[in-house]
Amino acid sequence: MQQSAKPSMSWLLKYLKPVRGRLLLLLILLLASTGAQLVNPQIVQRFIDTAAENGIVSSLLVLAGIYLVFAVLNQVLTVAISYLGNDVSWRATNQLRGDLLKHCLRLDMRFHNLKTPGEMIERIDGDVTNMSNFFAMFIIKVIGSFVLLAGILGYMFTINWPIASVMTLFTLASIGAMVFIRDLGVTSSKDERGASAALFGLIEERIAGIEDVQANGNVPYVMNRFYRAMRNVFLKGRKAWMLRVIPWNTTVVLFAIAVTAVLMLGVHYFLTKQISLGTLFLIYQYTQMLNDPIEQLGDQVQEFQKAKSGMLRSQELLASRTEIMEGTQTALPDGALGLEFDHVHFSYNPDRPVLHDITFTVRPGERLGIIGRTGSGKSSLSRVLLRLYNINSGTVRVGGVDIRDLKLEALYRRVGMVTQDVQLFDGTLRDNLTLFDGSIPDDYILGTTERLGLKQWIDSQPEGLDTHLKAGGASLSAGEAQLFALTRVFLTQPSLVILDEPSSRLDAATEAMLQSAVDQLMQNCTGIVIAHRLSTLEQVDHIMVLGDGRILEFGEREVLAKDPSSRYAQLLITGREEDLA
Amino acid sequence: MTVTRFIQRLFTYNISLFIVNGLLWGLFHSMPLLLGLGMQWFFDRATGQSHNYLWLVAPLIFIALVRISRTGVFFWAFFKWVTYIYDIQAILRTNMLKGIMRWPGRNLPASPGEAVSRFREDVDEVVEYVESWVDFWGRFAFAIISLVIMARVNWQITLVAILPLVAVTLLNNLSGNRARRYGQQNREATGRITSFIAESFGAVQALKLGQAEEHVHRRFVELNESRRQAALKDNLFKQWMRSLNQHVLSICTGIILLMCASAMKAGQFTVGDFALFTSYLTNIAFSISLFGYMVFQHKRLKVSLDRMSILFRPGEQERIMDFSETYLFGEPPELPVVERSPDDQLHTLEIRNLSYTYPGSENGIANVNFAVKRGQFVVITGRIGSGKSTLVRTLLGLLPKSGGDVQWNGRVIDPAAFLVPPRSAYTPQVPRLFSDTLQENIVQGSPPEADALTRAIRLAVMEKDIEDLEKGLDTFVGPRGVMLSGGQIQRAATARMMMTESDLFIFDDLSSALDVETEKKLWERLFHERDVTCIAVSHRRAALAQADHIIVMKDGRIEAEGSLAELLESSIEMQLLWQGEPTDSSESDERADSKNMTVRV
Repeated sequence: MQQSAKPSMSWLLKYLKPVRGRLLLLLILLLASTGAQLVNPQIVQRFIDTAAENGIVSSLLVLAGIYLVFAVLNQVLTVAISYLGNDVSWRATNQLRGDLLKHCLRLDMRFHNLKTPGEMIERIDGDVTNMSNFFAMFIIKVIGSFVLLAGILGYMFTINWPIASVMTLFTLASIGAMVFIRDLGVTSSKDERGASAALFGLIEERIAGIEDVQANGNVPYVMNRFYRAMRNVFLKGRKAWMLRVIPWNTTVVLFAIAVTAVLMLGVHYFLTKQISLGTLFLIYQYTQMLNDPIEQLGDQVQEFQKAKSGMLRSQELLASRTEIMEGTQTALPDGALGLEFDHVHFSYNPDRPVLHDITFTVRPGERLGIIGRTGSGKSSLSRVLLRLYNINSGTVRVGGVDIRDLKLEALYRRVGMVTQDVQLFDGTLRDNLTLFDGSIPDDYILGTTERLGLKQWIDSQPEGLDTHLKAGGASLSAGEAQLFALTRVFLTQPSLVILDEPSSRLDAATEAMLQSAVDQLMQNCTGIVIAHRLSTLEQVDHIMVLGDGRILEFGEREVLAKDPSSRYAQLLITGREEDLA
Repeated sequence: MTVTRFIQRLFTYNISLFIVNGLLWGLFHSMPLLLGLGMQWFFDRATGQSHNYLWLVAPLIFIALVRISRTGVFFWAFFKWVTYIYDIQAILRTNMLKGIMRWPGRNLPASPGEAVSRFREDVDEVVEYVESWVDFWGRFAFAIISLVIMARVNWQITLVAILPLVAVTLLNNLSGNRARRYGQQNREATGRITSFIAESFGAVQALKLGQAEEHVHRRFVELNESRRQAALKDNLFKQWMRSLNQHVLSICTGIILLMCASAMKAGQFTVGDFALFTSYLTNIAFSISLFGYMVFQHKRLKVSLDRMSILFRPGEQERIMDFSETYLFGEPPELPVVERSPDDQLHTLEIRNLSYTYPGSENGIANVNFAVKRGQFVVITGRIGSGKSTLVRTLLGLLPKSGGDVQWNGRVIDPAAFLVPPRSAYTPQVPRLFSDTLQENIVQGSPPEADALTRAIRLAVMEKDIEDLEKGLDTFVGPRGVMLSGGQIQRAATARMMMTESDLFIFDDLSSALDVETEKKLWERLFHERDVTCIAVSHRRAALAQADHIIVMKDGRIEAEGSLAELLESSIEMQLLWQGEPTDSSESDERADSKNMTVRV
């Protein structure tokens, strides 16, 4: 258990480094407040003794005044500590949140294919929030509690060492018990976090797909699933809570025994006249005070269990590595980039080949059209080209360079892809077009949108590029969204562009309008066009027909079109037949 | 709904658990009374010059026993409390999700990711509020009883202890608006973060390819930073309000000390009394600060209540505290079997003067009329932005119509409630699957009837894909179905629709992700079935050619309608759509076109 705790602690220390100045200040404040707390009972002791000895009223007044000053000082310190502690915790956890987000975004698609956005909210925000207390207060409070304990015990030793020894013994026993059972609730807390992530994943996903749910009458089904998820959270959560409070309660019981023992001892010394009544009261007050740091520690153990489950989950996330290993090369030839597939084999699962021995070449500036039925491997081809997945064997070269040798950044800077699935953000139109890249000038954005026929639409929006696009772009039609995606890619001026059925959601009239713009934009780059509609392919140089992950046909478009035995020509005929029907 | 009404409903919701919690925590919080009395007892005996050890120690044993039995009470009370927490969370979340599901379509005024933060933070705020109330009774009882005990010892000193209560309550009342404002800012900042995370991971592929990780990270850091500031402000204020009570109280303790000084000299106040007072005062201090804090919490609760209420349709906000069943303590019941009433069998569907305008714009559809008879295949076509999808979604009630009506067999119906299986089913333009197995996505919890499933899959032309998938129907499709190709998602959604065996199928651009042959096969198989009625939005020839009736939309109105042959002869718009090449691209046409772009489909 010791071993499992240590790495997680040291791992988190990294996030405390940037805030160490603040932490130090926090510690100083905490020590000051501890000091103030230690002083108070002594004032009261003097007060009682003075009063019991019939001392003068003015000295009683002075003592009461000092008490007041310390009490107020303590309150101010409490607020300052809480503020600073919060600040430290937000700073540190925000860093962790940022790291988690960045790390997860870098993970490969195999990871993302298993995680819902709602679950990611819980993992990046929920889990981290759960450990925020750990960052701010854990170390500080643990240190503070120990200092206070040491202070109390140390002072007690100056008064009466047998009593102090008993107190020390019980304190050590309490701490030992807490350390021993500190991991009691960690596993169940982790289960609780998992159940809660699943619940929020379910909620987010069903809200996002509300139309699919409603119009197919699935609301009762969704509610049923929701009840089950909620019940799971309840059962796991209740167990976790009950286990987490055990350490705290253990300390309360131990404390009760300690107080009784100490006071019984005190009574003994009082009866033998070794201590005064004031001192007996002081001992009583200090045993009361011991309660605070020990309970504090118990509380922190509870928090620790909560935090540790979050830590383990975050650590798991950070430990998951992308299987896409980046290369080091950054240089690619200028201008349009050629593309080469050399005996490429690929599968998502080991025994189901998706691409089988694919070999072809596209020269810089040429355009290749890929056709094939759904599931023939067209989209997989573009995914491996962009290194969203690793190929099993063979080589893919872009601009003559094996993509495995390239830094991903270098690859993506020059290669763009437009897919059917367009994701929009709750943000301004500008953010949506540039994907939050602030360095792209408005002129350039507007120029590109104009060429793609989106500018009038932008102009008609109340605030132009600053218009806020609501909730996942619900206000945008699928066709308009598609134009968005095209604009996004062309803003980055790619040298190789993959259009994965870019016009599938556009009507023929709009598509024709768009086609010339796309042609113009594609002048300076190599193009791969994946299409269902043959009309989309009228401008390409070569045609590849894919079937079951194999190249069934590859050749110049014009040659294939003229050869009546070619599949392409046959498809053209099917298309035409359909026209006539 | 006012906050007061809300909490009334909240407390009456599971009143027995509320009372049990109140009693148990009341017991837990009152037990320190015995501790104080024990201490007084002890010190009074100690000052009493007695030298019998056991006699002196008896109160200490009593105190120890009280402390230990208090932990027992704690476990019991805590178990009840945790149960209560989850019950409150469950009822709020259930009502919220139900409320969201009553919105027609995607009209919820919050993004899904942001809505999640309302399910989380705002619900937690309510729990925290209830926690204060559960603690209140015990602490209140403790405060009253201890005040009485103290007053009997010395009423002047006791009076000084009560004064801060008044001061604190007044102070808190003055600060309500700020409390609310800070609370709201904090919540909103959190909402922006959850929403941003959800959207980033929804669009992860685009972000990767667009090399946007850095930019997204930067934006995320900015959002985090603004939340840090909002949260700090909110928390500081909260802490300040909390400690303000304590300030006042510690000043009072000082004054009490001063008063004790003279009283002790006069011999009216013993050391035992002093022990009693200090023991009670810390507890009273905590109780009073809790009462003050509750006033503050009450004001803040409005923020959360408002944020949760937004998830409900206007006029339904009251339903946040419906007493619905949450099934925490037992398995939820099986899904009800869909009942098919013979009277509701489709004969005709008539759309009359249907209109819808997007809020804040002039775009939408206006005065659309058409009818569908049983067995017909009606295709709605038109350019991007001409209002095709708007028409279908208004017809289905996914958008709230601004005029006209929808009639089923001549009877006016409420589309959102009526046009669901077994009467009608729908596949949206961009269908969404959920992270489950493929089979679960298709059957959606309905009892597994192998025949019906096979039929639905065959109609959706999906049998070969399922064969090719490694785990077949048990394949986990991933969030939004990302493990499948676009075409597979679209056909899985079609199979899901077919599975309902409804009278009317509505396709919004089903074929856009399908290749020519698959699409053709799909229509062929569908028309092979007897008795199928369809409305399909499409601009694809495969669909247009099969249509019994075509409706051409332009600028949100019906431009032309009829059979394909008629339309190709008479309608220029239809010719354009069919040819895909504007033969006559005059100035006016282009302008009209760009205007069309503003019409949302």
